[in-house]
Amino acid sequence: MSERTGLCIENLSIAFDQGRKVAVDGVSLSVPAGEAMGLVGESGSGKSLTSRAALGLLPKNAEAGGRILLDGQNVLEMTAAQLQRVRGAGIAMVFQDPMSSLNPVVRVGQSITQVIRSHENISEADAEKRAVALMERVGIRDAPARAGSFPHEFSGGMRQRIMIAMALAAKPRVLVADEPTTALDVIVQKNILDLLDQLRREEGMGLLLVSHDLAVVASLCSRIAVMYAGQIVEEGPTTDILNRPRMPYTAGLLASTRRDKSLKRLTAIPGSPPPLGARPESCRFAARCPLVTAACRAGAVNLMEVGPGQAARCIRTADVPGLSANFGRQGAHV
Amino acid sequence: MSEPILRVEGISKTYAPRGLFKGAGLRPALASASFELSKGEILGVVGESGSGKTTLARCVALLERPDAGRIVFKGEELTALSEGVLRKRRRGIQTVFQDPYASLNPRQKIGDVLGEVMLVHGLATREALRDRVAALLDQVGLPATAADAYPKAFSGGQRQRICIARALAAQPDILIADEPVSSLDVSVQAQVINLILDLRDRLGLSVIFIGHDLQLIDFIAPRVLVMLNGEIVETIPADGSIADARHEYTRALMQAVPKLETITG
Amino acid sequence: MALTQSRSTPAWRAGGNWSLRIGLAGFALILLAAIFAPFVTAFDPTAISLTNALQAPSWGHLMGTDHLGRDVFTRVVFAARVDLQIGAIGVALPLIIGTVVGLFAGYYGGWVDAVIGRVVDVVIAFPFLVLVIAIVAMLGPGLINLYIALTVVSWVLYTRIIRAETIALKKREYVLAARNLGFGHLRIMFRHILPNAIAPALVFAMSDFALDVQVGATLSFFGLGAQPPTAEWGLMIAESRSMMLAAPWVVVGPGAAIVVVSLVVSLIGDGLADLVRGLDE
Repeated sequence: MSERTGLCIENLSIAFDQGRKVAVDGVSLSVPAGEAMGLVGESGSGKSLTSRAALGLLPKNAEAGGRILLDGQNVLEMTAAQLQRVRGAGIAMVFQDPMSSLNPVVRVGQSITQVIRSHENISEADAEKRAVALMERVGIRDAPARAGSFPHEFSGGMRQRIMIAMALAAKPRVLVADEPTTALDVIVQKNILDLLDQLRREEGMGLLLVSHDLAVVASLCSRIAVMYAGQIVEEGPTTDILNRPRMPYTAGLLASTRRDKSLKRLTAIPGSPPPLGARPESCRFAARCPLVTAACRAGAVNLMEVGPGQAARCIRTADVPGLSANFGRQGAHV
Repeated sequence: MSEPILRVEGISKTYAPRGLFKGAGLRPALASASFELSKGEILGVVGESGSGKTTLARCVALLERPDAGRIVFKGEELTALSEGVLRKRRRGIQTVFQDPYASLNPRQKIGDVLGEVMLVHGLATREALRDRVAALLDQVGLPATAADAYPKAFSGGQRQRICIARALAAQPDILIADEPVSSLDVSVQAQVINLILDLRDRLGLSVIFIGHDLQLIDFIAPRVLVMLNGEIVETIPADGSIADARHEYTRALMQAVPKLETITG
Repeated sequence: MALTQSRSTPAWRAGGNWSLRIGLAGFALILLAAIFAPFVTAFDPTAISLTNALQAPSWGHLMGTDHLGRDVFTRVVFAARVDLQIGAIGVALPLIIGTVVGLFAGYYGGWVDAVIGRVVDVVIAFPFLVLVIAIVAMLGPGLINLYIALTVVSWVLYTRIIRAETIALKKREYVLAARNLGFGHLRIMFRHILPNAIAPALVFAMSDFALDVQVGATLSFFGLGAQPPTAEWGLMIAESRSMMLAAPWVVVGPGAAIVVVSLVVSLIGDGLADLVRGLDE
């Protein structure tokens, strides 16, 4: 893929401990301008590291391989000064916890103004006007007055709106939202998701939405990538993935969200994800998979094309549809 | 229906404010909550943060003393007991908390966690302890070897199983599950919920299952209480459905949750 | 189901905790020298030999001799017995008392905490050394009274640490679970809170140990601690200070001993802090 605009991650690997612990393993995905890409995974799947790497925000002891192209430029090779310029105007991020991301002793209007002025040479007064306009844009009522408030004077949902306003301040071409609604109540979550969707459409931004919640991601994104134990295990158009998952992990996740009262039990995936130091070379889901065969444990499994724009990391993709019955009651007695 | 195992009558709780402006704008965390629980019943409680659902859990377990109201457990009014007598009754109502990482003493081996409960209450002799611990671990789907490990050797889902085993060690009548899967990996949540459902069937436990996911609670519990701002605003009866919910808040909750069905069609 | 095993090697070995290793090795060496002092040196620490007075260091007298002809090295080694004892008792008593008081204050809160808190504030308000000297001066010179003074003055530091930890821990779910299970207050305090609260106090105890050794030496220097002819580092410096310019070795030996012990114990403290962080990861 050679998209010039937007974000394009190519074969990204992130390792710790001199390469002994590979947290992210050969991840490729692209977020074209104006499109919404969803990245789904559990804690430890590597989804957050991947999204942070896109902003050059990796822990000091991490080693990254591959390329992260932002409008054709590799983020991983940028100097600190280049990164500074690209963060904000090229790509911006919204985090899970707005309270710890906002400076508690700075008025929110001032926080937004600072971002604007660090990227543009405009007067304080003009930047303040823009900040108020941004707050209105993200749905904060009475913005001129609220700009003088401190972060603790806002509710969680309103703080997340302010974080989004800050992220938008330098007009980024790609917005990364890492679990933006996980700390919020469902009704507030709905409002924030609607806001992100609206902004993406109206600003023509690329949106990378990272979440553990398949339903949250599916409600907003046209494409989804599913990560498991450091790898993308399935990727494709949202409707195809939901209707016809081709990787048993995705199928299991979908099955576990089913609330069929006639079954009396939820459909569980047995076991738990392998920890960082104990991931097999072969299929990493093999230990939990109802379709596992000896061949699954024989060697590494590659992402394979399984349909138009859909790929799955599984050698038994043909058997996955109709799998759900096999994710039966085993979960209770592992 | 027989005499309920638990009767909660109008319990309220207001936390004393801290800081300079005492008494300004006090809103009760829990306002006059009443409900009954039968033997073997699963009662669902759904609400968002600040709805008072955790305060309700703590008050029913008498971890907080309600300011007003009565809690009657197996015919005995717990709210009228002194701290000393209450301590002997506590094991009848057990809680599984939200965060399995903070729920286990990091310096205690799992065998000691479970064994301590039985020894303190005289539910097992020292000689029989190892077998009893192994049986408890088996009941929650963990190997007997888990007894010799410290909590840090276990994943979140495994820890929550251990917490359930610890509650079972006290041989309770009621299990309060306060958001027991909210901190767990998505692929592990269903296992833990199924385990709680199995235990209810096998042991005849009564369960109060608290959460924020209305659809999940509706699946687990026939009868559901909906909480908002410290009050129970709606009770969905066992023969009813959340689809028929009357309160506008319940309906708003239902509409706000992203649903996969609407996307898959 | 397989357990998700975390690293089985202890954190201090895997991480190469050199502070702790060097500190413990050094401390063990000093402790062994103190215990087996008569085998470490051929001389008697109190035997006076005026003909040998103020000899410079040599192979016969590694650190020279003092104004009474006593072997300085021998006295430094024997003094370790006294000074390590000052450190150990000066830490142990306040640690035990302060920890128990801090547990009660933090666990019960309310008026218990308020009363203890005021007492702690009053003791902390006094300058540390001045208060120790005042108490020993009042009770009379000697090691026993030094221990009493150190205890009176420093238990409050442990109380503060343990109280703060206890307040944080009692809101933890495992403490709530212990109450929910009907465990008694003492069981909850000593079995469930204390093992998780003690680590910072132990780390602090190491720097306190070094401080106590120095305070002990200081008080002996002023004539309020160990009494002649006992070999004690501070006392040795006090006795020899008039000869300091003519025969510097008489103060270099005990002075270096104080520095080395302080250093070794600080290393242990640093290492312990790392170890505790590693355990809680």
